[in-house]
Amino acid sequence: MILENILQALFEIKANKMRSFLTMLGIVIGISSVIMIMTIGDSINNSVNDLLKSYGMSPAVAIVIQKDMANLEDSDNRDEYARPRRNTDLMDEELFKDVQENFSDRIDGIVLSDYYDGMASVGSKGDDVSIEGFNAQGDTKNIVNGRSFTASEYKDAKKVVLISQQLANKMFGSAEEAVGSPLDINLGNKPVTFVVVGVYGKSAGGVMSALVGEDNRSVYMPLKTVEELNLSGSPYDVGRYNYFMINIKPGTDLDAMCSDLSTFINAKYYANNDTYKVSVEPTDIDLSALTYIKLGIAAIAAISLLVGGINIMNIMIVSVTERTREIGTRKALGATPGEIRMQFLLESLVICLIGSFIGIGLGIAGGLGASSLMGVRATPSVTAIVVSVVFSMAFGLFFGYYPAKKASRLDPIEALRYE
Amino acid sequence: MNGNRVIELNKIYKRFYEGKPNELEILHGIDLTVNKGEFISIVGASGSGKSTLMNIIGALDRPSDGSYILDGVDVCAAEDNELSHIRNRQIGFVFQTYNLIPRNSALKNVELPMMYARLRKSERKRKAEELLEMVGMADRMTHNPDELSGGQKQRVAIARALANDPSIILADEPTGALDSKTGRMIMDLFHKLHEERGITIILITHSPELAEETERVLTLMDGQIIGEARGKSYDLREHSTGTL
Repeated sequence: MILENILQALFEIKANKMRSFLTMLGIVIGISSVIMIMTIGDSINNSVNDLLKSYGMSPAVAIVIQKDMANLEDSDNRDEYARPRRNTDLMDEELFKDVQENFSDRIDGIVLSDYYDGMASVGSKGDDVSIEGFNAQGDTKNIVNGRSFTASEYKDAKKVVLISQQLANKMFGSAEEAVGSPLDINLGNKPVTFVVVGVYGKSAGGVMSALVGEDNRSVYMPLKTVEELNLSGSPYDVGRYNYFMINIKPGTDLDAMCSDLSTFINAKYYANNDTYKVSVEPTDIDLSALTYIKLGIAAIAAISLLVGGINIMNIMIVSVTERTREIGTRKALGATPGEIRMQFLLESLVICLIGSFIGIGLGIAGGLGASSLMGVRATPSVTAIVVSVVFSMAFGLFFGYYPAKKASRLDPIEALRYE
Repeated sequence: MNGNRVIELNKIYKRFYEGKPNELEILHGIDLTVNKGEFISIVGASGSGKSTLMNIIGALDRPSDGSYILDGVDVCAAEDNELSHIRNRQIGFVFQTYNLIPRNSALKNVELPMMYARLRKSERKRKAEELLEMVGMADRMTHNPDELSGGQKQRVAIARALANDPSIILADEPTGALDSKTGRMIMDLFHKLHEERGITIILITHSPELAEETERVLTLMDGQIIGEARGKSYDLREHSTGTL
């Protein structure tokens, strides 16, 4: 019987294409906007994660901080300043080797980076560039031409660089031309010659890179190279670090590792330090704001779903009124009030389902389209789809109930007289 | 004799707005018996109460007083859902305005009562085709009502009325909206159904001429049956199949 009714409902919908379409329009718009927003939101989320990964944002960071930092927050102790850092307060290669040996099952790599302290520029016009160095484990650039650094280049602090596509085009005409060519960089007015070994392109972040301001003025070189350039500028020795980032192996319990590593380093290297210690923390990129924004906008879009539901109720009421005669006839032929109610309820349910499928299709298409326009990786949200279908069914039942009940209550004699 | 009675109306009263200042009694104690296979008519002018009586016979309404036994079933004791079943299984309506379901084919229209009777799809289709064939609408089974003439629509309606093998056919002014030639054709169809298949037919009409064609004529006036007579032209019929 239900199958019959569903077929009958489909039949009625098909017979009244224009009206059916107008009825489901609200649902189509509501669901397609919700799905589109959720899809785009998820895609942006993915792209931010990709971007951060490509920037080498490791899951954890170990940083030298003052012991008893909490006390300094106290207004009473504000006058107490800790003594400035010395070389011996910073971490060195020995510590890193030790950490990697002892935590090899959990740590995938230690990422070190440093910036050149002074002003740097290239070309006759003196375009500013920023110089950053990283160690082998911090090498995450997206090379589009040439190659990244070799092990010996890292070890020997060779003067080799990676430049952006934009800079390559500007200085050499093309990325192909740039690779292998020498590049003079003015370091504090003194030109130093480097060799371009590779050209990097946009990281995976798409439009997010643009928003975060991925800098195509960045020039990358091996860490040790930057350190030697910094010799005059840095108050600390080469090979001394304030912090390092940690890449973990899959399946590692992040919090446990941070705690264990913290204990290990402090016990071995900072036990006798009067002022400083090392804190190991998860980097905890808080993307929850993004989620809230996404859900917020989706909720607003969902309001149109509510309007769509009310629209369905309105049009079903009109439909019932128009079909008063027909309802009277059906009752005369033996339809019970329950059967009449079921008939109209199923009609509104089917309309909602069809509307939701169309909305899902449009929403996914729109979401994927917009995502690719923005250059982000798109993943249609399965949750959003399932929730949409469930919601539209609930709407169909809820908003269709009143008209269906109204239809079932019609007096057949009156209905048959209706003009 | 009792087993032969298909309709037994006993002291039927119908009042509207009961208990209220404008209480109105339309039917004042109707007694009516119809036997199986009879072709009877109820004649009355407007305001005679024939619509009210028809609604009661058709189980669309309940009497205020009295009893109604339809083919052994006590209609007054039935609840709303049961009344629906009674209408579905035992009564076949034919209306003046046909009342076919629009946008559905003739076939689907005839299938409708059988759908409410929970017959299987294949069974319904077979029977519907048979009935449409019988009323001469076999070549228009897939047509929608708006593609049919008045006479054709009424024929489909008659086929529909017969769908569940009802105890009675209740025809309310079936030729009222048709021209005389088409009306004649419909009346001939009723006669054919009556003669060849022994179907019990109750014709409600305001036209005495049409009423005289039936076996028994009951005259209704001011809510009471004031006369009962044999149809004058009934016996004059050749009982031939006539033209369709």
